[in-house]
Parts: sequence; structure tokens; C-alpha cells
Amino acid sequence: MDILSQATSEIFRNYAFVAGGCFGLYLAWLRVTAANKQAAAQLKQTDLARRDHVSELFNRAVGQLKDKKLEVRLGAILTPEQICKDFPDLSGPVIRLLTTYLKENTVKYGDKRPPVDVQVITKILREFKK
Amino acid sequence: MNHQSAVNSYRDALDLSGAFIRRTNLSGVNLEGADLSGADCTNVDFTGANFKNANLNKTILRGANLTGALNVSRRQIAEAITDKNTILPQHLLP
Repeated sequence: MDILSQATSEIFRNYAFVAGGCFGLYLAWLRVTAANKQAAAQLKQTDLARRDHVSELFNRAVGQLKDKKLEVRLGAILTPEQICKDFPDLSGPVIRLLTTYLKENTVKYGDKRPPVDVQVITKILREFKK
Repeated sequence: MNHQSAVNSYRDALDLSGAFIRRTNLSGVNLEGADLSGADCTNVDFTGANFKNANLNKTILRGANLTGALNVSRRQIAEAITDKNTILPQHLLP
């Protein structure tokens, strides 16, 4: 009888271990899932922050395109180019902006070489509109 | 996101109508559906560019190089303003 009750208690103990282990695994799974969700939310947050930054850069570039200084205009052209590379989904507005700049550019340079800003824009078109 | 995907991402047609883009290099550019009407493209390098359904109405193509340009039709060239220095693609040569 003693042997039987001892065996029974051992079986119960083993079941309890297994149940405890399963519960532990469940808790670990919950924790990992929560951590994954948190990481995904953080990534989304970072992406949104970056997009905000990019929008700000884009707006600033728009404002600088009409600047009298060539170097400022060049910066205003090269910044959107980088945006195109980093955020391909934003390349549409960038290309539209640059082609509008080409259309509105009132500098008639005759038969001389095109100004540097025009050359840079056409280089960007060659790169992004293949 | 690699650079190749960036290159492939912009699919909208270009609008360069009325633009003054003399002596620029637009070789290999996809001008499918582009509006180049009234643009001054004198001496522009269009080597290998794709002109499928591009609007070349009154586009100045004097001295432009269209060697190897794709999908250019006689009708498009007839609508554009060309001269003896315009280099036409092989299939449009007389």
C-alpha cells in the first residue's frame, strides 16, 4: 500500500512539474509577445519621427529652391535626392518638385552649358527615372 | 530599402512641358507618357530614352540626339520641331 501511495504521489508530483513547466513556458511566451509588440511599436515610432524629419527637410528644400545663391539651391536639390534614396515611396513628390523647378526655371542660358542646378536635376532624373 | 528599389519606385509620367532644358543629358530616361510639349530640348542627349506615348507637340528637338531612342514614332517627330542636326533613331532614318 505504501509503495502504491508513494508511486501515486510521485506521479502527481511529476504532473505538477510538467504543469508548472507548461505554465512557465506560457508566461515566457506572453513576455516575448509583449516585448515583440513593444519593439514593433518603437520601430513604428522611430519611422514616424524620421518621416516628420524628412517632411521638415522637404519643406525647407522647397523654400530654398528659389534662393539667389547657387549653393543654397544645390543643397535644396540634393536633399530631396537623398530623400528619394532613403524613402523610395516619397520619390514621387520629389521628382514632381524637381521637374516643376525645371519648368519654372526662368534662366535662359542660351546655347551655353546648362547651369549646375539644371545639370544636377537631370542627373537625378537619369538615376530615378530609368 | 536599397537603391535599386528607389530607382524603380517612381512610375508617374514626367511633366516637362515648356521647360528650357537645352544641352542637358536625359540619356536612358524613361519618358513614357511624358509631356514635353513646347519644351526647348535643343541639343539634348536623349540617347536610349523611352518615348512611348510621350507628347512631343512643338517640342524643339534641334540638334537633339535620339540615337537608340525607344518607341519614337514618325508622328511624334512630325509634331516636334527638328532640324538637319537632329539625330534620329535608326528606324526613323530615311
